[in-house]
Amino acid sequence: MLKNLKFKKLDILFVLFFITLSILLIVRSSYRFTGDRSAEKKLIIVSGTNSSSIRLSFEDNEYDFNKSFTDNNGADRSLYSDDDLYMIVKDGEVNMISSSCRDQICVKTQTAKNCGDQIICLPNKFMVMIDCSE
Amino acid sequence: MNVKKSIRVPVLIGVLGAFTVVLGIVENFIPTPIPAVRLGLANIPIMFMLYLSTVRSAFLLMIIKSVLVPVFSGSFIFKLILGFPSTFISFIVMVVILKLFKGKVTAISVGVTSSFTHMFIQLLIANTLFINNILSTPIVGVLLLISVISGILTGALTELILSNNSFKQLLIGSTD
Repeated sequence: MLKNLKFKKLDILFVLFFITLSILLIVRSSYRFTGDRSAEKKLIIVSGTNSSSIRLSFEDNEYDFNKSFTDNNGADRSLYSDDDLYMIVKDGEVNMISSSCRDQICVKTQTAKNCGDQIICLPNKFMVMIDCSE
Repeated sequence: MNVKKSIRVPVLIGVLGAFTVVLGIVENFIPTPIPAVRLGLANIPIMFMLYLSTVRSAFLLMIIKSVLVPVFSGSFIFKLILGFPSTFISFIVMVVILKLFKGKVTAISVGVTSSFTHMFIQLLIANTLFINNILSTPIVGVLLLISVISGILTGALTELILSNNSFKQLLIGSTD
C-alpha cells in the first residue's frame, strides 16, 4: 500500500521549510527563557490579555487561584472569582491539580520542572511558566 | 444519468461530512505528546473533496466540520472561537496551494501547509483573546513542529486514499 505513496521535489521543500521555521522558533524562544541554566528558577503567571504577568518564587507552595495569594514582591494578588484553578509546587515540580474547564488539558499536562516548561489552561486564560532568564 | 450526476455531489458532501465529524470527535481520544494537540484527521475528507470535487463543495464540508465537531465534543463557544477562523484560513491556504502548484505538489504539501496555518492562527487567536504574549513562549515552536508532523501524516493518508482506486470508487461511484 505504501508503494503508492509518491513524493515530489517541491513536497520535500515545503516540509523542510516548515520544519526549519518551527525549529528556529523553538531555539529562539527557549534561548530567551532558558537563559543561564544555573540561574534561579522563577514562576511566571500570565492571566488574560490585559493584566501584566505575576512573578512567584519557585518554592513548595499551594495556590488556590480562586483566593488571593502573595506574589514575589509581597503584594496581594487575585485572579478569579468564579473559575476554580488549583496549583501545587512541590519538590521542584509544578502540577495543576484541578481546573474548572471542561477539557482538563492543564491537569493532564505533565508536571513542569525544567526551565521554559509551561502549563496552559486556555479556557481560564491561564499560563504558568518556569523562567530561568536573568 | 443527469439526475444521477446531480445528486452525486450532495450525497458525497453528506457521506464525507459524516466522516469528517466522526473523525473530528474520535481524534480527541487519540493520545499525543501534548494533551491539547489533535492529529487533524478531520481534514482528510476536506482535502479528498478538494481533489475530487469543486472548491464550493469542499467549503461546505469545511463549514460542517468546524461547526458540528465543537457541538459534539463540548465547550462549543470556546472551540468555535478558536477553531472556526483557523479552519477557514487554512482552507483558503489549501485552495491557494492547490491552484498555484497544481501537479507540482502532492497532498502532503497541502496537508503540511494547512496544518501549520491552522495551528498558527489558533496561537494568534490565543495570543490576542486569551493569554498575553503566548506567541513568544517555547511551546509555540513545539506546537508548530507537531503540526508539521501531523500535516505530513494527514497529507500522506489523503494521498494514499486518492491513489487507491477501489476506495475512490466506493466513495464517488464509477467515474463515467
